[in-house]
Amino acid sequence: MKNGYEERWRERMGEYAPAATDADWGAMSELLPKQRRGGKWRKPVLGVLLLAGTMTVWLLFAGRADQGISFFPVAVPMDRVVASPQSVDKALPIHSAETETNALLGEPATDKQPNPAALTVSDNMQPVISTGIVSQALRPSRPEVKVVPLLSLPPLPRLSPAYSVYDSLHINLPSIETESTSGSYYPTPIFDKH
Amino acid sequence: MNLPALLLPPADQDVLIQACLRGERRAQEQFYRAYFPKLLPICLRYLGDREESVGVLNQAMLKIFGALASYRGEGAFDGWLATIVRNQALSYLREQARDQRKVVDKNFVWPVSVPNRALDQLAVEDIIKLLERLPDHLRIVFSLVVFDGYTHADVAVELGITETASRWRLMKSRETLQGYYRAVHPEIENEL
Repeated sequence: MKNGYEERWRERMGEYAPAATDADWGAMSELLPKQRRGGKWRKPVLGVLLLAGTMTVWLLFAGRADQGISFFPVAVPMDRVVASPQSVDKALPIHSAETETNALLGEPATDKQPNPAALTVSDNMQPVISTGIVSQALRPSRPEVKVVPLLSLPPLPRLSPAYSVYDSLHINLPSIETESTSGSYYPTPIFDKH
Repeated sequence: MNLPALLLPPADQDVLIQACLRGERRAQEQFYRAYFPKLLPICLRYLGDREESVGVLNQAMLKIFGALASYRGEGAFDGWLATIVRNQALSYLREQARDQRKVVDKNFVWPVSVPNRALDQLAVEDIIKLLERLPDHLRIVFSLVVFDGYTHADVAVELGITETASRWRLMKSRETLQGYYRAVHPEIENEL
């Protein structure tokens, strides 16, 4: 038979069983994914750690959420700004005109009354200036104090949100077109100069 | 193709497979060493070179370890393994596209283990050496038909060629093998 050797080849190849060497297995083990040591306890531990981390983050944000949006620095409206009496006192001149007058007349200095300026600022009524009719409780003991509130407000920090709101109160939105803006597309805002 | 009975009895084989599925390295090594002797010859028939064959077999083993969970027990386990290894070897050859390997090699040395014997008396190592001399496109068809029992229709489907091309390649590989042998042993030409 011309191709009779093929049957013999098939039999011999079937019987051929070369053993794997250590080098063969070494090459194979390099292809296998790295075996994780301690895999039996790693998963539970990782799960507990992940759960603890999640709960920590959740508690952190839940505590902040209770404070609402006020947690973040929010600009305070102008009518809520209250100049503290302490700051007003500090802003007041130590020797007022009345004190100087009393000193010149040789009279003792009057007792310092509660500063009505703070009340004037807090309710934004300015009773002394606008109406001239001031209740006894609000009447300032020193006439010159009536101009104090605007002067006595402590300087607000430049970058604070309150300053931005305070500053924005002095901006008038443009309602008319001026000469400088007649040729431009966008009107230029007009700033009140105080 | 039917592989000879493997080394492991079915019970041990199931235990070993379960351990391999758990990723136990010792079980994987045992699995590798148990099936290596029967799977490497498949690669050798298609590739010839042992180092190259081991590389392809290792790639096939990697696929086997990843596919053990999907083995449904349908058909013989050894046949399932052999199919994966054979497909890996064929894919490797397609990628390499080494169809142009020269048949005539100046450094070719005829196996000296059986210098005065016919082809049917060659040792396995010599058979592999002869197969290695064949161009890939001939060796593949020869191995599929002679060793794996493929029909020409199966070869045509597997390689994407016509049955006529498969027959031609088988005939050409036989002529080439016999030509090798006749070149060295003209006195036994009648035995072929």
